[in-house]
Amino acid sequence: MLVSTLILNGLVMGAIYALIGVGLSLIFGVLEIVNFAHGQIYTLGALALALLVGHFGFGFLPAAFVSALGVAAFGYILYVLFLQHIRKGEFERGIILTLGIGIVVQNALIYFYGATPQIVDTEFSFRDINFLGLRVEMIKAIAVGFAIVSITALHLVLTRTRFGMAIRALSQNREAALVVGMRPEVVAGHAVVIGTALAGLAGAVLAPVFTVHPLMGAPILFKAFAIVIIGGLGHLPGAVVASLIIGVSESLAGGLGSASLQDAAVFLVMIAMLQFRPMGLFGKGVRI
Amino acid sequence: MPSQQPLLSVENLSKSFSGIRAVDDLTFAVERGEILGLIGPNGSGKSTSIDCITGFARADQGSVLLDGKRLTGARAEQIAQAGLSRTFQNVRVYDRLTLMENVLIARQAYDGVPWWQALAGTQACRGAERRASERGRELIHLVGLATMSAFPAAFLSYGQKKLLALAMALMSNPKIVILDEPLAGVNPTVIRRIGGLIQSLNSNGQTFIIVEHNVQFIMEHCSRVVVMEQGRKLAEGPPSLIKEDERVLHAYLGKADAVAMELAFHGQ
Amino acid sequence: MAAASMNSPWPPLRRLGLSACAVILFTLPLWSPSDYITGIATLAIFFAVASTGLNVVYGYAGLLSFAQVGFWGLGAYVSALLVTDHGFSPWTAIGCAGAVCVFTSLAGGLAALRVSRDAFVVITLSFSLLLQLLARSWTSLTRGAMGIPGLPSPQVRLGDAILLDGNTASGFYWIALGCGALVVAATWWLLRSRVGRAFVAVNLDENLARSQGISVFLHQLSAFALSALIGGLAGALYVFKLGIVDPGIFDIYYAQMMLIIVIVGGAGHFWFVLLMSFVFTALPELLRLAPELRMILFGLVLIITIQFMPQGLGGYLADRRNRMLRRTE
Ligand SMILES: Nc1ncnc2c1ncn2[C@@H]1O[C@H](COP(=O)(O)OP(=O)(O)OP(=O)(O)O)[C@@H](O)[C@H]1O
Ligand SMILES: [Mg+2]
Repeated sequence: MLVSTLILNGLVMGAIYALIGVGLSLIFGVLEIVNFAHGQIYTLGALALALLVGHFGFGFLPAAFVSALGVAAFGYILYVLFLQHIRKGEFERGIILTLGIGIVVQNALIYFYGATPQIVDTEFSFRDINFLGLRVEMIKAIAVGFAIVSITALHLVLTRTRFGMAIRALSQNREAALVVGMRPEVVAGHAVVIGTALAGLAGAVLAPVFTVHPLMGAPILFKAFAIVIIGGLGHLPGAVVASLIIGVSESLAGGLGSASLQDAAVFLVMIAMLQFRPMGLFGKGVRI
Repeated sequence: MPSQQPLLSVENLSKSFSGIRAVDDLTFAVERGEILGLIGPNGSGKSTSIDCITGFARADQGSVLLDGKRLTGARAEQIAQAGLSRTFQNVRVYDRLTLMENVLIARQAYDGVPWWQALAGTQACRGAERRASERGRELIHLVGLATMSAFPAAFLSYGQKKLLALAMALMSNPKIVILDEPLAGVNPTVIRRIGGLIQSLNSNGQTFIIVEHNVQFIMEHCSRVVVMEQGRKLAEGPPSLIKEDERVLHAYLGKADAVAMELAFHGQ
Repeated sequence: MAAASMNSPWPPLRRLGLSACAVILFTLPLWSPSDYITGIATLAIFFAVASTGLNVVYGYAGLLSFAQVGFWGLGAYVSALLVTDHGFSPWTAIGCAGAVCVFTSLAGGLAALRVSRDAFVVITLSFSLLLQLLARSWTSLTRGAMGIPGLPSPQVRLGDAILLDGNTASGFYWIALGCGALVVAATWWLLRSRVGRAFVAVNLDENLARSQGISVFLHQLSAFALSALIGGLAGALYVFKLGIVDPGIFDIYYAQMMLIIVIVGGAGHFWFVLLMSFVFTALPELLRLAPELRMILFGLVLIITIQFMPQGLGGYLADRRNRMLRRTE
């Protein structure tokens, strides 16, 4: 395969990883929780889309919106019930809690939904578009479109609005949000909703790209973890850059090397990178 | 000639935090067997100096020599092993462990028992452990916490934790004990007792650096005082001279009235 | 993150309980109604040992590690390969597996402990995933997804006489019990020593420990290596019970089980974690639930514990005891 094709495919996947990684990083930035349930939240988005398109005859775009909204609602419930009780400095507790939530959601999905993989057929499937002379599947292109639009929107919200300032202040320190005149709990709740909505959206737009099943979240979550570590925990632009790096390295490793190298690429890149920058690409400070 | 040089000498120490010069070209020395007081208004850089000296912060410039040995750039645990023992302004103890366990931990890196002997539980290790418990019991008694020694440190009040931290700092027979505000939150009776403890250890040759806002205590117990202001050394000398120093009084109290000055420096 | 005070809660009571447990455990095959039950008890022993490894690194040294399942699987593969491809006896192979795990953990720990604590969690997780990937794809060595079948059973001999035969359920049970008790006792001894005390110190307050001349890095590294040794030995013996090793040995299920056992028992509470290993192995068998329902139940238990009793059962009881002490003080 052409290297340019590989790179393009890598960028496409990278953009999609970025959706998941940015949400994960956002939640970490505000709550200092590494969300181990993020993979299952992504799965929920995919399953919701499969259900809406397959059983209720939704079109792809409305189904994606509804899925993301539904998942965001679920994220809000998680925040109210569980996440808001975790204090800063209890980061292991956050991991274990979200891991437990992930276990419950995943197994409930298997129990009620069955573990058989399912193919989601939308009006955009099996069509290609032409991009600078290279062929890209249309559903992938749409997924990238979603990624670009929502990440740009998030960026604008974070940099241009008072709410965004509050979120950024909160990732620096808890009291700072008060200065902007917003209650920390409210801001954190919104951040969780945005983060989970992005994961749900990622699941929804990726549903037609991959097969859908309750276990689909785990591998992509592990990749997302590596991505946010590479980018610097809590650093959103870092997560985007890292996603693109990982997407491209995976694609190259798979195309020029082997499938297993492709799977290993993300971890190898992470471990190699951390040797030079222990706090990630954009993280500050080094632990002495 | 080793006996001529000071036990600890700090030279041209500087440290900035994002533009703020917390410590600015600080130079001072500590002689063997003295009690050096380090005073200065809030935010004058006392704790930061201590952190730089003991390896908890990396100084931007300057050097620290202990007994002629360079400590600059060494890790905190190495500096501790070299004989600088310290307490923290925000008191630190192991909350979940008993007082006895707290003091035992404070000693175990110093008695030269290698880890494999500790694992095997050899005679040497058990002997060291026994001596440590004796010393620990003694110190816990000296700081007045004997009745609590089997309880978790979480049971202690803030002031009691300060006392436990003091006992821990003394466990390792260090060359110098650095106490960062040992008296904050401690009542007058215990303050007197700590003063006595410090004096008696000092008369056996123990060297101290004491950072305190209780100026009266400093004046009473220290042989020499270093005064800091905005990261710089403002004055240095015996308490009697420091008491009279205009600049010190000014720095300490700003434009406050003379009565308050008198109170702070000479007691009621 | 938790660590128990090292003074024992209710010593006489505990001594009695321990002796009773020892008797029950030792005689179990004699009154066990079926080999199936004996098999479950054997599995519980493996979980007890592996979870103790996690308890060392997380409960005592305060490092949440997902590498435990990786070392468990690594130990399993190393011992299986040495026995099948190199003709080692199971016992030598198990020893070598432990050594390989220690070596790997030292090399890995040097890299992983330089980063922040959150990144450490992710790196240890990646380590386990990478090993699983390796087991799947390095087919020339590991036979890939097919796994390595036909592993022999270990035996304990005295001269020519076979004292314990791993082919029988009870024989393997006693072998597992003997080895497990040995490892657990050695770990207990170590944790009671001043080295174990330093693990706790480093966990509770890194800076205070450093100010007392205790190296945080060295103690974290040795706790990590110790947990790797324990996990590796457990995995290495476990494959001989399975008779086959395949990439499923790295299954996240094992990691989740170990974590649930440690969290519910109470991180840093040695005996409660051992107790929970038996509870959480026996419980699903008693309830006879579908695997998914079982995991849902476990997940809920995990959530509820961390929400309402974050120090686990051991921590909860120690807290109550402390509160009583305080009142009578
Ligand atoms: N970690 C830090 N980051 C940024 N600034 C710091 C930090 N630590 C100290 N500073 C600043 O350095 C200056 C000196 O602080 P330091 O704690 O050394 O003062 P101090 O003399 O010990 O005061 P106090 O008597 O109140 O304890 C202060 O202006 C403080 O705000
Ligand atoms: Mg201070």
